[in-house]
Amino acid sequence: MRCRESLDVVLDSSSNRYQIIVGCFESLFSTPLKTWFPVVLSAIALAIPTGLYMTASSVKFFSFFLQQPPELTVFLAKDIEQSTAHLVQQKIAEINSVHSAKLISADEALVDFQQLTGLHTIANYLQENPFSTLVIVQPDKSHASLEAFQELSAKLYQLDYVDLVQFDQEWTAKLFSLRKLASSFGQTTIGLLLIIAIALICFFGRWRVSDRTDEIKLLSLIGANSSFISRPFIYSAVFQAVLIVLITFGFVEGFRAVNQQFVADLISLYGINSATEGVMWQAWAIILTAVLVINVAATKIAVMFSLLKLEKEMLL
Amino acid sequence: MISIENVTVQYPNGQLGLRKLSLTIPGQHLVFISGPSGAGKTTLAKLLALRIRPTEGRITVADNDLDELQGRQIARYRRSIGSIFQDMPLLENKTVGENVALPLLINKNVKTDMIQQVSNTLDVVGLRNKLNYSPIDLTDSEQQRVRIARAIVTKPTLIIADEPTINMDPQLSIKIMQIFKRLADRKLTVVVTTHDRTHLADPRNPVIEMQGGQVFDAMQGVVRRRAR
Repeated sequence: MRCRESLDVVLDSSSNRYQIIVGCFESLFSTPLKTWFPVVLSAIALAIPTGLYMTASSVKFFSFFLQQPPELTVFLAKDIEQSTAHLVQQKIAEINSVHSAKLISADEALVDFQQLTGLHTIANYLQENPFSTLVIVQPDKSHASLEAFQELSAKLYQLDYVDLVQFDQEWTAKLFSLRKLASSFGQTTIGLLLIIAIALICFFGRWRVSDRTDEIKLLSLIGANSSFISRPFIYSAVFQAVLIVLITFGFVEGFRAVNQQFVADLISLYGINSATEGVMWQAWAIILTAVLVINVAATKIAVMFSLLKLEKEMLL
Repeated sequence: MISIENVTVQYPNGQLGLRKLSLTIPGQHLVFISGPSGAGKTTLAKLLALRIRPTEGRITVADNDLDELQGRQIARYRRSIGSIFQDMPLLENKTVGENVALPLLINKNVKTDMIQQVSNTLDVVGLRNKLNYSPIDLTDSEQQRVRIARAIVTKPTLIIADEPTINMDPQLSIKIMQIFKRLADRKLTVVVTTHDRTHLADPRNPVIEMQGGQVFDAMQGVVRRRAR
């Protein structure tokens, strides 16, 4: 036998709201499968794209294995003096689309050649150093496209003392295409998974309402307006949205904690010393707001549809 | 007073619920609508409760032309009457007191008045001591009395009860009907549909006999007073 609080508590409007929220908590235990199943499933659906986003953004999954960006090699005039070469290097470094410009003198180039080939005595047989002074240009990340490379190459050609600008056009094109493909694939996957998560949240919102059609019908028949009928459903939707985001947070942070060491080890192989970063609190605030809005809107629409359907059935 | 003029109800499946029904139901009485199953009793009760609309004809309840009511006016009308139908169950997740208080909450009554009204109404149906019980802990008769309490708690001027004593033993049926009689004595209009003829014996209560969607064995448009 169930005896609850006195009617005095129930009829107070603020207590009434409190009762609805307490009712939501009670339902977690009184009807666990019915309450937890949609919440956990929605949380899983939401955790997958969130986790993927976290992985993609913090570990830079799509770019870390392509971390060696293409470079341009600028060959300077053969007879250029070292001081002039420095000036050219500075001019190149000042170009907007250039991240860095490294000067390699002809002598340094020869030493590098000797070390790389093992032909240490070759200089003795040469009448003059055959190498030119070089500037290795690393373009800015924001100019990571074949067109930008070609544009930069044209700019470099306009500088004095520049004999030749070289870069592997085919390799650069392939690299950027791969990057674009990976990025587009990642974004599409995250987008699709988000749509699935939103659809699930909407479906369960509607499910909760359709499960209580009798209650809606009764309230409608005793003259309740739509906002009165919606109220308990809205409170329940808010409560469940918070629960969904909390569980999603648990899943994502749990995933991060479990895989943190593994990811750190993996990325260290590429020379990056960085740990995975979690989803920022601003992002969680956005996720919470979005889930709240979606869940409440889906619930409200479901109640309105349910009422319209009932009225249509009732009023012929 | 309730006026029904040439009302026909045809359901979507083509079945006729009422055929050119015209009658006047006097106010402040307990009025019985009697007849066999399929006579149109429930259809008439649903029309009065504005749960369905007539295909043809006009219904006026206390100067309200029901056909003209739309949207919020429908909700307002429903708040102004008390309905007891089989498909209006008690909410099992609420106590008896909360169920009875629902119409008051919808009407946004003052809290202190509500507590008094709920207690008094449960007193009328003899269930004041069950205020904090769950409906599932009540017997069928007690549940029906809570439904009656919920219908009358706002002190409506019109109460419509569709087969309120169905599946009840005779003693309990009499108890329920006594409640309706007491309400009618308080100058409320109570319309009760029933197929149980044992309740029709009191000559003070008008009886409308129906069959095949029409008033049977009576002058059309005039409520027949049975005298025994």
